[in-house]
Amino acid sequence: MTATESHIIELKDIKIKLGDKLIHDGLNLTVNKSEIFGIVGGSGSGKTTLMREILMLRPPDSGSVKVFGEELMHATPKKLFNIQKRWGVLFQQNALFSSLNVLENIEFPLKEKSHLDKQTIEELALQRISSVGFPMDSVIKYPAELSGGMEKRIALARAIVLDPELLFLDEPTTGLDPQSAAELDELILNLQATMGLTIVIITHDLDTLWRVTDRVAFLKDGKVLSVDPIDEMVKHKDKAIQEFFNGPRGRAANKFEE
Amino acid sequence: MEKYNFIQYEPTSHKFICQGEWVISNLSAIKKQLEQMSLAKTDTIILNGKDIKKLDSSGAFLIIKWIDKLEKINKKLILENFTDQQNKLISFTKNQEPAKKIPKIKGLYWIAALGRYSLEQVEEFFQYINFVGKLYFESLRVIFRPIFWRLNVISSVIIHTGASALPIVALLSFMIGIVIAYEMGNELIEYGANVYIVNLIGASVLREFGPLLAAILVSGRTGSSFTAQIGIMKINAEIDAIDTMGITPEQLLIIPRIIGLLIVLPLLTIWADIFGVLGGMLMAKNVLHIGLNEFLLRFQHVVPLRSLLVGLGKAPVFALVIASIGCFQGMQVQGSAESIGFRTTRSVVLAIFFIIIIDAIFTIILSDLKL
Repeated sequence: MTATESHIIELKDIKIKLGDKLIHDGLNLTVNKSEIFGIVGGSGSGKTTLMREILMLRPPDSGSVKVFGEELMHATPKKLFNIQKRWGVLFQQNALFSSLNVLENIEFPLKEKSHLDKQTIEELALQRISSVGFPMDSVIKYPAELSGGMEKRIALARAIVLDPELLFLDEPTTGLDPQSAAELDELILNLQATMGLTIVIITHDLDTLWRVTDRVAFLKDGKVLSVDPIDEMVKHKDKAIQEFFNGPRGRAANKFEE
Repeated sequence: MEKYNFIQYEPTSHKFICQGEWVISNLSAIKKQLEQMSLAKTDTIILNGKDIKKLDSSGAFLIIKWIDKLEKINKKLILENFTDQQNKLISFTKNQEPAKKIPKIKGLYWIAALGRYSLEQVEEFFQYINFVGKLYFESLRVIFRPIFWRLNVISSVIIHTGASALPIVALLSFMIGIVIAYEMGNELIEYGANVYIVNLIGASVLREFGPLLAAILVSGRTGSSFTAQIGIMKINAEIDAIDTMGITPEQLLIIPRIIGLLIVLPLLTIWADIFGVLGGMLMAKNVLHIGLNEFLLRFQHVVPLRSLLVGLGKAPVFALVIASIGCFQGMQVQGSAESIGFRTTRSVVLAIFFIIIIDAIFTIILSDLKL
């Protein structure tokens, strides 16, 4: 495996300014193949912005964004289109299509992209829906009728429906009860183990970070402060990192480790 | 023996060999091949995965489906030489195979659908009455407390719905004035009754076209934006947030909009009147050779003040219709983007519908009263 193949995402010297605020100031980051990569940082440290930059929803002002070894900055629409087929995204607000019901939401990418017959599409969609633990009798409900946790599951099912190689999860466990959050953690681990997915998770959930991530990047002041496995990250000397992991809310997770 | 891309029968070892990438992009081709395959006679069929290049969960799903299908005809499929990861994927997929039942949405028989539609219309009408009643009640509560008058909201409504609509209202009523003068002028020339264009322009623009045009434009511009603004706030639960703070949405959002429009629409009507008459004047000069001075001189003699007042009198009524329907439809929004579109369309259509109905009623009543 060559270096570019093993690096699924490569960011170099990313700079972006939103309004008057410099969000990223020379940020570098590399995500390896088949790892579960966590991105953490305080509120407003540009985690979601970073994801939007990689997805080319809001390209950075300068720098280089490489995904699957392809440079995405100023890429042709066709090249971008080919990359877009290979990733799946779970947005923070779920971004389910409000005018389609659950089943149609999952079927939508299949209908658009897979050239399969109607019955296979329905079977595949139902399989995905059940694989995220969603009750079958609710598949004809509309997103507005679902609870937060159920919406999250459907959003995840939609993100993985086209079997992406790279999966972005923005705050996947936020708003879930501990039981559902734990189930989601297991689901993420399972996806990685069975399909060799590369998963990028943006989260504040320390339990999720401990349970699923291989490496974690800590963002601060527009740069990556440190990239380490979480058990090393918590021992990092920097004050911001210490406050993040070993603040009052960090104790539970530390106890879990001991 | 036929040669397949994705699956191949090896006669010597009686095995099926999987080849290539069993991924979602190839799924329909693989499925087709599986269906066309002639199966071996033996009870157990061996599927060899050593040449498979890539397997994703869709591919695994296909294998599971195949196993199920073979079980129905009492055959067994044995997987061989798949990697650990692939085996895990297949068993993971298998564990989650869905139950076959999906609840189906039942369509109604047409007469039942018609009945339901009618009932919904009636219900919406009652809800509207309810809404108006609540507004009335809220207005009474607010009217004696100037602190709740929300002058800043009212002034922003006036700017956005009034001031910024001035150019378009002016342009369109000017055009209508031109059209009326031109069309009528051609008829009047035949009778040599050129000067009567002044009477006609005065009556038609001041009594009808000015107020109607302003109202229709405002219902398209403002009624729809009221619906969309309030609808989005409803979806974001902002309305609920306001409610729980002990502030009613009527008081904060709806009454200021209605009052703002009550102020704006009569002003826009005068504005439309001015430009409508101007357009007529210009055309009268060009086609009928009536000078501007002559036009204005005659205008004050033949067009009674009554005409202007009748037109202006309609404006507040139209304003109430537009604002209350726009806000009501906004409050009716539920849950989805589609609902916002539906409600916005409905608000404009209903507003224009009622404006024209009310205008007709006005005309009939006023002509009976000989005004």
